[in-house]
Amino acid sequence: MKRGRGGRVRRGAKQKESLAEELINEILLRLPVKSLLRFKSVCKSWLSLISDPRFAISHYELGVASTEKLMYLAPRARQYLSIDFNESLHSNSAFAALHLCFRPPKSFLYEILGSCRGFLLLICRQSLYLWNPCTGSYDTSQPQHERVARVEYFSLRANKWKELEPNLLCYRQFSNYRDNQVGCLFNGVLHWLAFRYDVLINECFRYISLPLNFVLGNLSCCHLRVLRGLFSLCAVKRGVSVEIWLMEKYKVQSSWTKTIVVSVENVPTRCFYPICSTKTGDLFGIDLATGLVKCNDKGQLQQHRSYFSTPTNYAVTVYEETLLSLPYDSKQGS
Amino acid sequence: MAEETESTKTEPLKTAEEEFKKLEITEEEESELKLETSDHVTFMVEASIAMKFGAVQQYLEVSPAASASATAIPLHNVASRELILILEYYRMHDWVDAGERDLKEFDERFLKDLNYEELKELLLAANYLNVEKLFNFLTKSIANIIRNKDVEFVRTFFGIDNDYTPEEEAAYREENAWAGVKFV
Repeated sequence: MKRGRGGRVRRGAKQKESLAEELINEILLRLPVKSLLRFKSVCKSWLSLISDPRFAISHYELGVASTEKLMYLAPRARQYLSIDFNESLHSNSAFAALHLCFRPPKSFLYEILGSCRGFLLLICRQSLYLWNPCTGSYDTSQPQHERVARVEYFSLRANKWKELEPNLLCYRQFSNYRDNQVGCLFNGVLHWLAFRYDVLINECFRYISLPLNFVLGNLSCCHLRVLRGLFSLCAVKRGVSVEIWLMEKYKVQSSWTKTIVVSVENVPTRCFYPICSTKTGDLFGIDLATGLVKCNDKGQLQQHRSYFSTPTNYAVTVYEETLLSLPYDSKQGS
Repeated sequence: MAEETESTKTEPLKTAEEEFKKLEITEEEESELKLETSDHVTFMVEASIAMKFGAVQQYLEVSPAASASATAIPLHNVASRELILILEYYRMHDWVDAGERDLKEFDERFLKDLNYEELKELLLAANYLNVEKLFNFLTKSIANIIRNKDVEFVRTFFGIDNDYTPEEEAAYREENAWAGVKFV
């Protein structure tokens, strides 16, 4: 929301104590989603202001109070946790238990395929769900019964599900590990690790090189991530270590730098898959069993917290908190 | 001081004199605009700063003569107390030698010296004057004050009457508990 000249708010006697709505609007745009959800109950005019889709778009586009959370879904345990990974794992205000506002037909096994603009893309029994955990807004696509290799995505701009041309998918993916089937979004581009190293730009594929002499065969698994704002590669040797490679200069192969080596011997499960990094540069990830792990920039274990008593199926992803709802109409913002 | 020799005594005097001359020159070069606040106090303000005020620009577009003449540009919704603060803010942020740390310290002190009422008054003045940098700073600062506060604090801060009935408010909180919203 660009502030234009002129049309200033006139100050009357009453406004000495309460600010005009235009100014309230400007202040609210600078608050994080968590505060805004709480402040809907200040009064009815704040409720309608904060619930307005145009406000949601301005708030998202201004982005001065944007916050990221980790979604930690454990469908079997019926636990859906939103975790503030910038806070201490041991703080009870760092996580909130959510309720899913939609139920898939039978199974409760959700998996997370990704997140964008505050929406998570979930898959359950071949149905896709798009869900904003902050507003509860969701949409679903028809179940796909044919087992054909396909890429389908929801265009928030076009407000409909789209499918990529099958002939674009000519590369085989690396490993059967499910995590690698989920694209890693960086610079507005989706990335997958493949035998050819592909990225999706404007619905067509390009490729990026891995570090020189990098051997995938020696690893238990390997993930693409965005860590400390850089495109990264996490090379996992199960039970031993995790090497973090950061691509200091995007698309420049020689700029791959092995930045951190995390030794997993202090992690109770001896497993650590990095998911994201905190504002202070710590690594944050999962232990593949019941909990979450935080490591410092020297690769030393800082915190570990178990959320479930027994190992359970779960899915995690980082999402940005937004107030956006479906249908998303970009014209509303202007 | 009295024991100092003749030469060292005159030396700093000379440089001070030179400094003064330099200042005079720059002051001559720097044109000024006359601004009049709502409580009828007139201020001579460096044009480089006054021209950052959208309201002043707008006024000069309509009546360009005011920039040269002795007529004061009226600021109907800004009291002298607020203009002094706004000028203090802009002079500091305009100062070329101010480093990032100086500005951060200045901003913190500037904010600490204001109570909530003064902060809101200043926001109204900044909005009227259409000064983008200060306006953004103030809205961001107010957002920081209230972001972790409860609903009751926010109502008091803005002087807002709660127009929910207790039943409506309870129902609203119940409805939104799914999102993990903590209200108090």
